[in-house]
Amino acid sequence: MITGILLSLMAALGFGLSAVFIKASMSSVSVKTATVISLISSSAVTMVIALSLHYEEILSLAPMAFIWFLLAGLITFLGGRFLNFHAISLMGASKASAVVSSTPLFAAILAVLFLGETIGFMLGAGTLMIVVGITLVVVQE
Amino acid sequence: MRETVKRITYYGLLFAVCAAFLYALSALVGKKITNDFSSPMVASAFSILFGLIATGSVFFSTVSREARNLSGRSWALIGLSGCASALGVSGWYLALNVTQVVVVAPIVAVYPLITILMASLFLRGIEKVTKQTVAGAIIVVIGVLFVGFGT
Repeated sequence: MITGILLSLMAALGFGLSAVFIKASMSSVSVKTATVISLISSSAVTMVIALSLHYEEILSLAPMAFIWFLLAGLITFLGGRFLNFHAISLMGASKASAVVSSTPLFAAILAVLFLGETIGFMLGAGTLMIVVGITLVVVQE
Repeated sequence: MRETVKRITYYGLLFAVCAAFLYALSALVGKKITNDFSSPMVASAFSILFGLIATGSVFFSTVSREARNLSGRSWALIGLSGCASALGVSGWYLALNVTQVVVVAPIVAVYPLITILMASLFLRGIEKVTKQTVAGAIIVVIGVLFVGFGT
């Protein structure tokens, strides 16, 4: 349990720090270059962890898996990370992180639209809170 | 001047919302991959690798021009950002391996508050963190938890 909590904290700290480091570098570099260089270091770290923990699995991956990896890479990084960094450069790390953290709301909307899930009280209340929170973050004098 | 700042903020909002949507779409693709092909950690590592190849190909001319003139400090900050994000993804998947999602999700969901804390400590001359931003981020985090437990 403690290991899980520590790893979760590491994840939260990692996501939180990533935006701060990028914002600190933005004065001297374009979003395009920042996205590519950040992906080089991300790729190195995740590849080392994946190879050390799942070497056998990697050797036996089906060819079709690589097409899905490519699709995920295009959506998440050429799309998501690039736009996220753009948002950080325009709004600042704190505001952009608050808005981007609403990802589960969009996942829930996609699940309702394409997987036939229903909108319950928790989803409705959560959606309302996210909209109010983002409005507070964005609309400031 | 004020209008320009407002416009920049709203463009930022548009990009942030689109990024959130794409991350959600990527979660659906990730679900398909982890159901049919590989473990989340392997999927993540290869998605980042392919993302790097695709992004590097598309932005090659800009990156090759700018990278030569980039200061060591910028290289270090961007590299650290990539490492931090990779540790985030890896920590998330490894945590899910050893404990339940009901423990992991609420802890990871507070990351915007960590960003705000770190920004107020390390980005003092670069960005201003207001009480309204903190309040808004706390409400978003509670909303995200509601959505997470509601689905």
